[in-house]
Amino acid sequence: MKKTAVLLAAALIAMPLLITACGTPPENADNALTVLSPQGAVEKGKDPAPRLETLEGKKIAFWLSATPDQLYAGKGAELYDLLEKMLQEKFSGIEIVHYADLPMKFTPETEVVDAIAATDPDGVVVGFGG
Amino acid sequence: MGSIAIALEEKGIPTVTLYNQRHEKRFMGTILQKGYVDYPAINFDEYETFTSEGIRALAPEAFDFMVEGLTTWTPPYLKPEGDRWVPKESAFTYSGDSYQESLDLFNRSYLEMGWGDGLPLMPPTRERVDALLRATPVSAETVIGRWGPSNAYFTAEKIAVAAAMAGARPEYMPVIIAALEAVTSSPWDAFFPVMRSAVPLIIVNGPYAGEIGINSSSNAFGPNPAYPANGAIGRAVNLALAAIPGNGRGIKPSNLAGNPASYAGIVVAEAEGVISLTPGWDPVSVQMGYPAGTNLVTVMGVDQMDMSVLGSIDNIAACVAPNRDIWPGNRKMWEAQYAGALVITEMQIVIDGQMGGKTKADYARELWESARFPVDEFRDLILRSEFGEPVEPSGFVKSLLEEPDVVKKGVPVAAGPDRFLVLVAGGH
Repeated sequence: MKKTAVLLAAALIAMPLLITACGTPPENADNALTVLSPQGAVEKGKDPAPRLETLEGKKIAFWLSATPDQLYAGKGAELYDLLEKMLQEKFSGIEIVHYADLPMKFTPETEVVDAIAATDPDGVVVGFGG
Repeated sequence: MGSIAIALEEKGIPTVTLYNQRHEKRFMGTILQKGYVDYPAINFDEYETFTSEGIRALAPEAFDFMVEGLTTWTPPYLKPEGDRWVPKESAFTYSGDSYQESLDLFNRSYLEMGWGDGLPLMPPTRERVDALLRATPVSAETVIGRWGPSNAYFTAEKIAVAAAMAGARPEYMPVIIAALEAVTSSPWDAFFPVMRSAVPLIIVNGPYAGEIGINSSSNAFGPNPAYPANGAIGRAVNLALAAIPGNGRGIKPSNLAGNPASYAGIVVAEAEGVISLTPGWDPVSVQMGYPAGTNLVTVMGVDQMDMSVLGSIDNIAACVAPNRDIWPGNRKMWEAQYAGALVITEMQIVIDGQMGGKTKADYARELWESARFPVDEFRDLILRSEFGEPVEPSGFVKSLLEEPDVVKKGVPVAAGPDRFLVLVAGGH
């Protein structure tokens, strides 16, 4: 009985190995598939401005590219209201430049950039469409 | 929006951008075109951003990304290496309980990473990519061209990866490489791909087309099991153009309705056997200045196809509308730009060409004369700002509208008949 059980167990073990050998893909015997990335290299370009160490005590401006009633920007204003509140709850000493105090449009560009920069922010949240 | 973010960064002010998804392609295209490898930006499903409920749901994710973007963010997919940025991961391994499961995992993963067109991909294994590379005389590192918002390097190896994904055979590689060399010779435009969906029309001349089975006859622009090359070549080119450039996760699809030719492309061989029997019907390769019999690939960006079955040139001409997004800004561009390709079927050339004595040049002239628009209709279509406001013509457009021929007959869509390519394909 014991010998029969051993032989049966051996046969059962051998069968999966045989089945695997028949269905083995050419790439890898243990079913793993290794594929190459299509992403190309790009030339080393510009670095963005250095990031902030922390948001504690920082002045953060929120700029909205459209007035709250303009559809293409969605309800970005509502999101900004929430984010401003969450920032003040999480980080102490945060100063906010509210989006309504900045030009709510994206042209002319220099006017918008100058207005934002004039508030002397440590960081800017840009959004929400266009 | 992208320009404003970058202008602030260049003043030394760190920024992070949150936006709704419809602006993704243009926004990231602008960022990358300004020479940045990547930038901290996150976008949200457009319809979620239209409701207060949707905004409340995405606010936590937006907050976390906003904090990361201003403090710890670094490019997630690329790393610096010498004078370039290269992918952090050059290969991916998928392990399932079976080979089939591994294949499924690979397909899902590549789609999640933005690589693919939604149809099943063939796995670009080292073995398959090497087999494709052996079919070309160029080395794997050869740069065929540079293209895309970040001017990515289209090496022979990366093209072979895209070709493998498309299911292309090794013998298709010379055509795929030639087509991509042609496309990458023209600079990428940040605005145009957002508003239009141009796809390369790839015309193949010469005996090699027949050797590898590119269709020039029945259902030339559609699927034909007897001619598998057309679709695989077109798909390889489209996948390469979408996946190789970008910031590590490909270039996003068009914002608007899109183009069905983005799946299998538009690839056709010219029916040179038929046209060689008919005077005045030189193949496109000869029209391009090459000797007859040259193996040549000619590429033209197209965003629409119209067919007139047993119709007239007037029918076709009515479909060739002036396009504000690509209307040339100066006379040099006007005279250099092609307006389209006119495809004449083999049956039509027998009837009109061999029996009627009509030539390619006759067809081109007839189309050029017909594809004209009244000046006031042109003003309404073309002389508009991005926001639809009328603008006064100036410079080249002003002088064009004052030409006597234009005043009398209307504005042509092309500078002359030779701005239409005429080729023969399709239809016994």
